[in-house]
Amino acid sequence: MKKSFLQLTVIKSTLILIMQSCNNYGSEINIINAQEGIAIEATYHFIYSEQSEFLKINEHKDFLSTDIINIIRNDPFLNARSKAQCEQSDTVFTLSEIPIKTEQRYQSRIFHNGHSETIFEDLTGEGSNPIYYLIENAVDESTQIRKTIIKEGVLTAFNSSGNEVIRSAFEEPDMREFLDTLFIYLDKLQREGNGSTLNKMNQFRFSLNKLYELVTFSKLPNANISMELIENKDFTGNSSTSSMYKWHNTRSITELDPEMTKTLRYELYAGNQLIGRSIYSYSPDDNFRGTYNGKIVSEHPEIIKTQIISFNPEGKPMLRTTTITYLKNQIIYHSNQTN
Amino acid sequence: MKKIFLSILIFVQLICNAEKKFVWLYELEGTEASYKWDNYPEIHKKNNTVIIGYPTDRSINQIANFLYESHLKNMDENDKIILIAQGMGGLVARSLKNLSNSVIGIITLGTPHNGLELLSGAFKGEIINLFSYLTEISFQNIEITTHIFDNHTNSISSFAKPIIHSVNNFNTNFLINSLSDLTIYFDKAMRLYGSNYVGIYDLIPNSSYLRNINERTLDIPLINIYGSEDGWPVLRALSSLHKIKKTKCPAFKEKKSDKMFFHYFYLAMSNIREIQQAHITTYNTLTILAGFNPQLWVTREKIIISQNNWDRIYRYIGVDIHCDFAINTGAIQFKYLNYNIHKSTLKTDQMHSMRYLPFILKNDGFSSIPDMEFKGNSTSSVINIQVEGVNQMEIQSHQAIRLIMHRIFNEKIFGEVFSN
Repeated sequence: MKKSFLQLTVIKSTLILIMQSCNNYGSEINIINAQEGIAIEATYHFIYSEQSEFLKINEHKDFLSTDIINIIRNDPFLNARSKAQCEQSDTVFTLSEIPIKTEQRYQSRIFHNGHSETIFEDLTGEGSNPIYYLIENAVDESTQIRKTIIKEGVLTAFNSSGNEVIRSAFEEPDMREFLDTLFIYLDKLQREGNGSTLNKMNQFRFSLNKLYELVTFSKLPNANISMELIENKDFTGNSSTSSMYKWHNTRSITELDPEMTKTLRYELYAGNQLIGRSIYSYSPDDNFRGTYNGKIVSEHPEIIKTQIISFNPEGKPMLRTTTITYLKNQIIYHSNQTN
Repeated sequence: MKKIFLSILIFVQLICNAEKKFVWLYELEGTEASYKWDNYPEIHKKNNTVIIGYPTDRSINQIANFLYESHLKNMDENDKIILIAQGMGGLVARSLKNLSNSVIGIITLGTPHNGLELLSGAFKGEIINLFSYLTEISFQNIEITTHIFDNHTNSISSFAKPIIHSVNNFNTNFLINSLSDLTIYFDKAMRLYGSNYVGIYDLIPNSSYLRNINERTLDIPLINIYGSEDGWPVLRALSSLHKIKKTKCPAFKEKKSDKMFFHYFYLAMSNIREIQQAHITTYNTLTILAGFNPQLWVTREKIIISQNNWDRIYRYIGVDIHCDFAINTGAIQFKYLNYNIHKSTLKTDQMHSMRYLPFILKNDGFSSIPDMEFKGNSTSSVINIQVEGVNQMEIQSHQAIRLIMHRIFNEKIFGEVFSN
C-alpha cells in the first residue's frame, strides 16, 4: 500500500513537472534549474508615463535658446502653440501629444555561464489609455503583446489571453566578459568600500581632466556636488528629416549627493541650448537596492523624470517628458562560489 | 395607327431580345495588371461577360475614349452593359457612361471617386518621409547607443555588450530586413506609377478630371464597394505592399495578407523592450564601477538619454506613425471628445475636459468620404458598401468581396439591373 502510494506520488510529481515545463506561458524562468549558476537577478517594476508637447514660452524657458525661438517665431503654428495655455487649447493636433501611461515589469537573470533570460510583462490595465480608442476600428486585443520571454536564443511573445503571437530566433549575448569585470569591482567594493568624498573628487579630477576639455567641481548650498564637464564631441540628437541636427560642443552638469554615490540631476547642453534634463529621486526601501552577498552595494533611483527636446517628422521641435516611477528597481548579485 | 402599333411591337421585341453584357475593366495598371479577373470563374462561364484591357500611357478620359472606340461602339446598339471595375477602372467606367447610352449600371471596387489623398502626400514625398523618419531616428539612436562607451577601456566597454547586442538585433531584424526594403519599395512604386501610368494624375484630389466627372449627373444605378482598415493602418497597408503580388494573386485568395507585417512590427517592439531592459541593467550595474571610474558617472547619464530615445521609437512604431499615416491618407477626423487622461507628468493629476482629438477613421484611404455623394436624378441610385477587414490592395481577390459579387449577380440583392 505504502509502496504504491509512494510510486503514485512520484509519478504525479513528475507529470506536474513535465506539464509545467511544457507551459511556455511565463513560468519557465522559475521552474527549470535556474537557481543554479545565477550571477544577476534583476527585477524592474515601474509605472511609465510619457507625453510630447510643443514648446511654450511660459513653461519651458530653460529649453528656449535663440535658435529654438527663431524656429518658433518663423512658424505660425508653433508660434501660436507657444503662447497657448495648456488648459485653454481646445485641439490636440497629433496623437503624439496625448500622454500614455503603462505599467511594466522586467525580470532578468544572467548566469555565470554567460547566458541570460528575460521576461517582460505589460501590466497596464485595459482601457487605461484613451489613445488606443481614438480609432474607429479598435485595435484587436489578441494581436497586442502582453508578455515577452527571451530565452535560449528564442523570443516568444504572448497576447493577453496567453496565446503565442510571435516566435522568432533572437541571438543572446555572451555575458561572461561583462560578469568578469563586474565581479572584480564588486569584490573590490567589498574589500575597500567607498572612499571619502574628497578622495573621490581628486580621483574624478585626475581622470576626467584627461578626457574632457574642462572639468569643474563645486559644492552647492544644499551640500550636493556639482560636476560640470565640457566635451569636444558632437551629440547627434533627433533631427528633422531635412537635415542632421547635430548638437555641437556639448556640456553636461551632473549633480551628485554629498557622498558622491548617487546622481540627483543631469543636464546636457549644446552651448546654451539645454538638450535634456533628468531628475532623480531615491528611496531607502530595499526594493531599490543592489546587494551582493547580502550587503548593499548600490542605490537605484525610485523616480526618474526626463525632458528632452526632439523633432517630429515635420521638423518641429517638441519637448518630450517621461517619468519612470519604480515600484521595484532591484538587483541581486551572486558570486560564483555561493552557487 | 397600324404602323404605329407595329413600330412599338418591333421596338419592344428588340428591347426584350437585347442582351445584357458584363464588361470587366482593370485598375490603374490596365492590361498589365498583376491579377486577372479570374476570381469569378462562375460568372465568366456565361458567354455574356468580357474582360477588356487598356493601355496606361494616357489619361482616364483618353482611356475611356479608346475603350468606347475599340469595344463598346461595336457592341449591339440594343445591348445593355454593366461595367465592373476596380480602382481607377471605376472612374474609366464613369467616363465611359458619358460616351455610351448602353451602360445601364456600374459596379466599382475600391475606386477613389473623390481622388486619392494618399497620392497627394506620396508625390510630395510625405508618406516616404514617415518611413524615412523612423529609419533616421532609429539609426541615430543606434549611433548614440553604440558610442556611449567610447573613450573607455575594453573591460568597461564590455558593459555596453547587452545594449549593443540588442540594438544590433533591432538593426538586423527590423531596419535592414524589413523597414529599409519597404521604404525603397514604396519609393520605387511611387516613381514607377508616376512615370508609367498617366491616369494616376487624374486621381489627385481636386484634379480637373475629378471636378468635371463629379459635376455630371449620374442617371444609372452605381454600386460603390470600398474597403476599410481594422487596427493600425500602417501595419495593414505595409502588409499588403510587402506581398503585393501575392495579395493580388488569385491563388492567394484564401489567405489574409493584411496581418503579415504585424510580425515585423511586433518583433521590433519586443526587441526594443529588450533594449530598454539592457539599458536599465547597465545603468544600475555601472553604479558599482562608477565609484572607481568617475568618468562613468557621465556615461551612465547618456544611457538614460539613449533609453529615452528608444522609448520614443517604441511609441512611434506602436502609435504615432499610424496617426501620421492616417493624416496622409485622409483617414483622420477631429472629434470633440472627452479628454480624460492621467497627466501625471504635468501639473494636474487628473484632467477632465472636452477637446478636439484626432480620430483615425476606418476607411483605407481610397475613399476619403465614407459615403460618396453623387449627383443623381430619379433613375439613379448609389449604393455604398464598406466592407470590413478588406483594404484596397485585397479588394479584388478577397473572399468577402467575391461573396458580395456573387450575391449581386445571382441573388439580385440590388435588383434586376445587376443580375446575371
